[in-house]
Amino acid sequence: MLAVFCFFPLMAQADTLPETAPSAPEWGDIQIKGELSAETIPQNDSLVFTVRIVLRGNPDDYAISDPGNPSVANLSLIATSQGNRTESDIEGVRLIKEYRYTYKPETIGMAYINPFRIQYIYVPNGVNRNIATSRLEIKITDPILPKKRVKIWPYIIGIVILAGATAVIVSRIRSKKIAEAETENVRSPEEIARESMREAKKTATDNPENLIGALSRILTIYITNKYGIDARSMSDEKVVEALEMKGVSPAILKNIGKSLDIADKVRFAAMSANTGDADIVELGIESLIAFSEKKNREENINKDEK
Amino acid sequence: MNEEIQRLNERIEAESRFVDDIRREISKVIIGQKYLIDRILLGLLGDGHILLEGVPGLAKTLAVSTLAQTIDADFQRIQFTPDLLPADLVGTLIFNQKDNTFCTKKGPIFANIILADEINRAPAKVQSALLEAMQERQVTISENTFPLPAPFLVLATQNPIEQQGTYPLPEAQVDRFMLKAIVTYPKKEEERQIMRLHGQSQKPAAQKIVDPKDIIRAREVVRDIYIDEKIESYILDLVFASRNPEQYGIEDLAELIQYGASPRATLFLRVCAQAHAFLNHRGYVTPEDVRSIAMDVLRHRVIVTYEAEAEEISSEDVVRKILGAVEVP
Repeated sequence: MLAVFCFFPLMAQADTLPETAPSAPEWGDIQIKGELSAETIPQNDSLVFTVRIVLRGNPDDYAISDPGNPSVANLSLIATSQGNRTESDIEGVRLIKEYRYTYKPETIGMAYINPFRIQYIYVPNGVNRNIATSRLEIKITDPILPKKRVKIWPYIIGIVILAGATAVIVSRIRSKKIAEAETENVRSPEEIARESMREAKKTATDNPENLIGALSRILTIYITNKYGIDARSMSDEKVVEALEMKGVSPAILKNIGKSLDIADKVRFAAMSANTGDADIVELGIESLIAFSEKKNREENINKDEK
Repeated sequence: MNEEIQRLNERIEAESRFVDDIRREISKVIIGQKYLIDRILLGLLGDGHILLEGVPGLAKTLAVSTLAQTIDADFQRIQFTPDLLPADLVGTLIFNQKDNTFCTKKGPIFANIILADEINRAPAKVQSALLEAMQERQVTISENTFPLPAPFLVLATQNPIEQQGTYPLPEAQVDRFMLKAIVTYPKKEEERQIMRLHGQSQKPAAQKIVDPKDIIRAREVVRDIYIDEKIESYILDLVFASRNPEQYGIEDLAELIQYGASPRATLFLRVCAQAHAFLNHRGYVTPEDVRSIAMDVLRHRVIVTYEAEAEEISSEDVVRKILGAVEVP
């Protein structure tokens, strides 16, 4: 790669061949340059040989034939490219035709690029002419081996794992603290249900129907919050079945079933209720709350033992 | 407690006892398919017709014929084909050479329970002949009008697999069906029992439980089932949410619904909820009764837009969302 960046001309001359060279002013209007990217390259590097033909005057006056590839020794061609461009300076416009050949050295020692010959016809007088570069030599040295890479991946992976583990630990500690803080602040579903029941009893003392309606709503909310059962959109039978699946005892289920049945009849069958009915509904809720609290205590004891 | 309601409850409990007997009798022949049988019973008690959708071989015909046996009703199965003519269905006049007179030959539609198999295979004129009969409960052949027997229940099936060479029912006609029930495959354990049952040399048969007259009486009882104002409001909310979803906090449905449920939906939701309460031996309707049948009443009445179809959102998804959004009393 070093050779590509150190691009300097090794030869810059207009070379005319005497056998086809008539004396003419146009003679100086065409030039050929051969340039090497480096004169010494390691065996594992590549070399760029640039041939530049500079034309002055009318470019249509020159019919240049395809030059083909240069003849080389101890080099193998790996890429070619070609480009035309025009430039202008004080002397006028000039056309530059550029041929680039990239070679790879074959063996250590010397390599050669033989004279690169361009044949063209000067159209105004139909004269055939040749111009060529000089023979160039390149020194091929020992290949430069790449430096041993330091394996940094294990270190990076190690750092990432360490950082990840630290983040997990920190987040766990933080979430534990948040959870602890939440449990300190948030009331349990049992507390909420009990408080709602107290308030309902206060507001609907003389109206058992309203009290039963409020109590049934409290029961539904409690079942949803405590057991994750969407009691609001389920039939009484399905609510009881779902509670049974959650391990609620048959005696409690019987009470709940009764409470839900009374509540349904009061709410949707326009049945008049008395305080006894409200007591039955309240008893059903109380029994479920008491059962849940007992279960909570047992679970806490089991946790502590573990 | 209110004595009137108490009496109604007791009456319903007594009157609806035959439902359990019918279920028990049908279960001798049909394994599983509780949903299908319940829906047929709802149709029978609610005096509405049912559109069944399901792949072949799900015992749709067997369920209907078995039900017909248990209620001692006439049953006719009509296979709808592209070459079927209205006269093949309702009947025609036949010239009697002996008397030089025309006599009426009634078609297979003159039965209590009709299974119109693959209704979408027949052309529109046959479909409309059937749907007219369903609506009017009478058939006119030439100049004579003949009432159809009561109870008269049509169960039409649609095959969802094949669509080629079919005449899909227009939305307006589909609206005449009280319920659209989707019949699904039985569970593995049920299918095992089906396999064993059908492996027996003697096929089980259902016995008669009630008369068609009992069904007509039960229909009257169903209409007497108490429906609270809160439940009525809930039904109205469900129907109106399908028309004006933005008023119920489901604005995102507005561009997915082309047409909401018709007033027929309101009527059928009410009667189906009452019939559902009857099946559960209750003299009053609960929100759960409404929710249980809402999908079957609404799924074919809510028409979704092209946008919804492009997003693969079905009318069932829309109804599900409505049921989730409308507050349950």
